[in-house]
Amino acid sequence: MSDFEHDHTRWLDGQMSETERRKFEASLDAAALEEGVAWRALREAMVRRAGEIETPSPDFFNAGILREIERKVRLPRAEPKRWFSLAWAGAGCLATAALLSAVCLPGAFRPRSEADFVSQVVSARAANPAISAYAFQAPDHRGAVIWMEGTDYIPGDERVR
Amino acid sequence: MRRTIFALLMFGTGCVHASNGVWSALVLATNETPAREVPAKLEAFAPTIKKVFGYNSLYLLGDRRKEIDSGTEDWLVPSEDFFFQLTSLRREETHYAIRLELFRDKSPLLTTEVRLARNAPLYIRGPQWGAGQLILLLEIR
Repeated sequence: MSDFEHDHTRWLDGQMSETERRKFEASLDAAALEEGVAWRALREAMVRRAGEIETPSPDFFNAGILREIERKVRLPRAEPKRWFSLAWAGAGCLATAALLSAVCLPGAFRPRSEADFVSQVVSARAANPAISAYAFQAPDHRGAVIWMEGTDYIPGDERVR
Repeated sequence: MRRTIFALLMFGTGCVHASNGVWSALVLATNETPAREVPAKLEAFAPTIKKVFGYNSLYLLGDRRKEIDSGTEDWLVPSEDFFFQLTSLRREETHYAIRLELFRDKSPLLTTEVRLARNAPLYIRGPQWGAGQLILLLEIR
């Protein structure tokens, strides 16, 4: 910054003494002097205006920021929309699980009949012709019995492990 | 997220199949006065054994549970003397279709094909032993 610019800034800001101001103004041409005077008048008017504004806090900018924060806090939140999205995501997962189950476990969706829960002997054949084997349903109607006749008797003193 | 859901579903499906097995047991049934207390593992079978075979006291000589896979052959060995060779022919949600061969020592006693449902046991009347009766049990568990 040159000496002239430095002095010009001080003049506009009103930081010169009376002697300095007169000397500096004498060095200016008419147009520069008129422009500078108008600028100084505007600046002084703005300073006065700023002094007239009432602020809740001595720090005007902090007060403004505080007002903006309070305004944003009062805004309605987007919670319902988020919950709605989560509900759809959950329903989608359940539908996918059901579809995969139907594809991978087709029998899982078939209606069950009573026969599905009953044991049945399809065939029973003894290895030794001297032994007979026949089958029937247990009295509980669910279990099954294979009855062998003619197997060798095991004496009581013989060990069975 | 998608990978996690898929992995959980596959894990669940695997669990359904992996939890299936066959429990087999060798039981000695006798008549005693007073009747002997039924072993805890045989409580569910005691009423049917009493009705079908006519014995009031039970001894559990051995039991074993084994996981089985479809189309495989396995040995079920509830005791050293009596055991089964089991072939799983087909597995469905509620039952197994199995082929069983019952052995005493190394001699085959019986060959049977059974549709074995869950909680619906198979009772096999074995040889007489002394004053009692040997009974073999099979159940899906």
